[in-house]
Amino acid sequence: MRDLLIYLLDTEYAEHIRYLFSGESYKITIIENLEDVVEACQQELFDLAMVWPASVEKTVNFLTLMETSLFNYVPVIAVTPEDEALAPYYKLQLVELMKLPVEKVEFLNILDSVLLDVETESTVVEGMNWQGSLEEYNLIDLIQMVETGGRDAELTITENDISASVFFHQGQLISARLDSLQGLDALKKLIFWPRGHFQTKLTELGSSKDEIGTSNADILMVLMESLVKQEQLYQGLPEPFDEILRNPLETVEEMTPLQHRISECCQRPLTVWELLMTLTDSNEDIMLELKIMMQMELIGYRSEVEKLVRDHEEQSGIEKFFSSISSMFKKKDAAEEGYYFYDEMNGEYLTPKLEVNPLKLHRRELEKITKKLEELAE
Amino acid sequence: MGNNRSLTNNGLEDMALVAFIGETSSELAGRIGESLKAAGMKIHVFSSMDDLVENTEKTLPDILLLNPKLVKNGVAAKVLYPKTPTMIYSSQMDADQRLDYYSQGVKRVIVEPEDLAERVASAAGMMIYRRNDMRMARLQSLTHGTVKAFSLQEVLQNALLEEKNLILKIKNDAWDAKLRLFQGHIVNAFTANLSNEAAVLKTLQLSKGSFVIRGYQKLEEFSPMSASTLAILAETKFEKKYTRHFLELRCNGVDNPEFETVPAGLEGALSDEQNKIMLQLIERYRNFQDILLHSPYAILKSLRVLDRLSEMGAIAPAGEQPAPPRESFRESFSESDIEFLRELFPENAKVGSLAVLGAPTSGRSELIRAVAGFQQSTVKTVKSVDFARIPIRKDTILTLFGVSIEEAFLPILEKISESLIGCLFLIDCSNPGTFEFINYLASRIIQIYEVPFAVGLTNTGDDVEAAMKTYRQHFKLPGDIPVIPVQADKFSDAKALLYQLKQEDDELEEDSEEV
Repeated sequence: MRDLLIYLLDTEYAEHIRYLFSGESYKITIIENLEDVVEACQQELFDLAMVWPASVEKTVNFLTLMETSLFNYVPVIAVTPEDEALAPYYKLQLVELMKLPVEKVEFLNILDSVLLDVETESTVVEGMNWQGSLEEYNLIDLIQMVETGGRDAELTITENDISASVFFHQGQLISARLDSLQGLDALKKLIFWPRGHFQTKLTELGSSKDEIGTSNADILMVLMESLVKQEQLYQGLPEPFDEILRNPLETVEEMTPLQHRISECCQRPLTVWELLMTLTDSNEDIMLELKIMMQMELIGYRSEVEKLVRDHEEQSGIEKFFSSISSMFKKKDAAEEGYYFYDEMNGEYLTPKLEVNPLKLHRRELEKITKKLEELAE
Repeated sequence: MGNNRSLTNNGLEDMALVAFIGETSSELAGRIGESLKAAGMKIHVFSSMDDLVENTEKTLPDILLLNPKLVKNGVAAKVLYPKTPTMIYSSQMDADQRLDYYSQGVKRVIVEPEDLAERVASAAGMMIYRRNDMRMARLQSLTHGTVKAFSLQEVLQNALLEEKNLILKIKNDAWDAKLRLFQGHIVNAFTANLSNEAAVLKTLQLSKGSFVIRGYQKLEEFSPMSASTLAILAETKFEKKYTRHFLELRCNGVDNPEFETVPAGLEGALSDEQNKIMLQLIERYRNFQDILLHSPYAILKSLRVLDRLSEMGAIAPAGEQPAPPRESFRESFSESDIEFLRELFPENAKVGSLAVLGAPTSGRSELIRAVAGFQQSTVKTVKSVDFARIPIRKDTILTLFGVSIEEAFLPILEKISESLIGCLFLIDCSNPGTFEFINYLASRIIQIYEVPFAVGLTNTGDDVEAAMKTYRQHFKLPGDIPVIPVQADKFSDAKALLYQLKQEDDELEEDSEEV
């Protein structure tokens, strides 16, 4: 049941491809446009991808797309035309490089060899563990699945160097640890992990002390309630893996202790998820306070805060520039405004002479003024 | 670059990947080695096969690059290829020689007339990359585990509960399967020999192996499967119980016994194709689980064939004598079924005959075998007519006659007409070329014999609805003959078809009452 994706760059090769795979148990998906590759990968679990007939540029584009779209787990083979130079491919992250023409039997041998080499099965220890992504199996799924088996197990969840452990005895969840948090507090934090890698080791626990003391059903109920509450509170906040930052341009006189802690953490850019995991306060409390702080513009998206700061710095730079320019002019004015002036002839400072030009009025204006004054006097 | 004659373990204890180069030309070895060293690998060059073999016994390299000039006939294939990923390289080599190396277990043969060293180094780098980095990327990106850790039933139940879109790929040595779940429901499934329901049922029997899981995004899915996931899970439980029962009765309850063929019992068994296939599987795998897994048949059918072979004395659990005939582990007619069958008989009749008519591929023999087998009756074949005598009460016997419509069947029907209590037509839906002929024959027979008739559609494929539609388009049988799709080798289906005879009868009675 091997699924292969072929990025076909020249339809003339299609018939040959069909011949090579005829009678074999591979399922082939042929994609001719690079923009369709991501959708195809989202809908199928490919064991291998092939660029056919490869050119260096198209292969690089394909590899880059797979990498950026998080499909880097799909091994890629480049199948080059006969006249293509191979050397430029040597530095690419390919699992194999084949040059056409290729005999069907040899082609299938190479393909089998590659598929065998990348198989995860060959590294899985039978009966020992089960691991994967929280996006497929979240904490609630995992608790239920371990419970169904009624086994002793240690579940480890990791993301970005943060690690948590949950322990089961005969399927019953007995303890959980996330940094300094324990029990339900740790689980309530864990339930909100939107992504991460889990590993379940089915192993007999040396100590099986029940530190939580509640049935799995009750724990699940508490966690479900907590999750719903957290999801409600989370609305309006940045995505968990968006970076946020303290806005240095805004200050308030009074902050709650938790706001202080949030403010401290956000002095450097960090994701909301990191913030939730760094603080030992409940996620609900952190979310509430964070919301308030974001409304007050004390905290914002990293990109926005950095822009504000840049704008501010530019603004203050311009102001400084203008003030420096104006100060230059002001210096000139100040010299004119000096009360004393230096009389080079006599070699001494003298008070300025007041020079008032005599008033020059037209006779008719003078008459008007006189008349106005007489009216006012009456 | 080291040109070690001998390596100590201490010399290779660091974490760098190690490549052994077996090469007589120090210049070529040097050029290959330089490139690999630049990539951070540790290189050891050997100019004789004996040194190379001796050192691989002390330390296994991550990759072995070998000039074919150094390859001694048989030694490398026996000693090196199975334990070390090996690449053979040359500036010239014909296709047959390359294929020969692959068949011996070499992972890659590089033939490059120009710039051989660069090409070899790059190919080695790619092999190392896929065996380490790529495998690690897959481990980190794909949910994976073993069936022992979490059974597939648990995975399916969870998916159903959480309405997940998942692709599961399951592997057990050379056997593999793929299941696709949309909103928690299985929408299709494949193994090497089976598809959809039968493939899922077989996969769910797996007690060892590993799987990878990946979620997927799609707005809608079309499913050719008619059974719901819950129904399949329920059937899995039934099959497990059934398997358990088989093991209890045939293998003293051993979980995963090994079977062996018993030469004395083989003679009669080899005339049947299903028996032959199963015997080949027993010879190859021996192990019960593996036999079931690699059988081209569905689980229940495989168990039936194994049971038949046990009964015939053709197979036995390893180290044991063939089991004497024992109480059947299989389904059988219930009291109400027997009551119903008895009602088909004319009053006071002790013998009744039921004709099963169909083309050779219609599943006629399978249906008779399914009914007879469950009742511990043997099926005999004389001149292409299958017949089985089934005692349904102490003094009442139902005889099933399977007659091919390609033979001169009318004289046979004529012979049994006195005791004929019903007639079943099996129509092979995968063979539309015969429809017109069967329609004609069936119409004729219905006009001749006044017994209840029923039609079973076999080989309907995944789309039962389409098969029913095709039937309605092509068949214009007189009266209202009931028709249902059947899996000929399934006892429950065979029983359901028999009950259609009753329905027809009832309807006739109702009609006559109305008249």
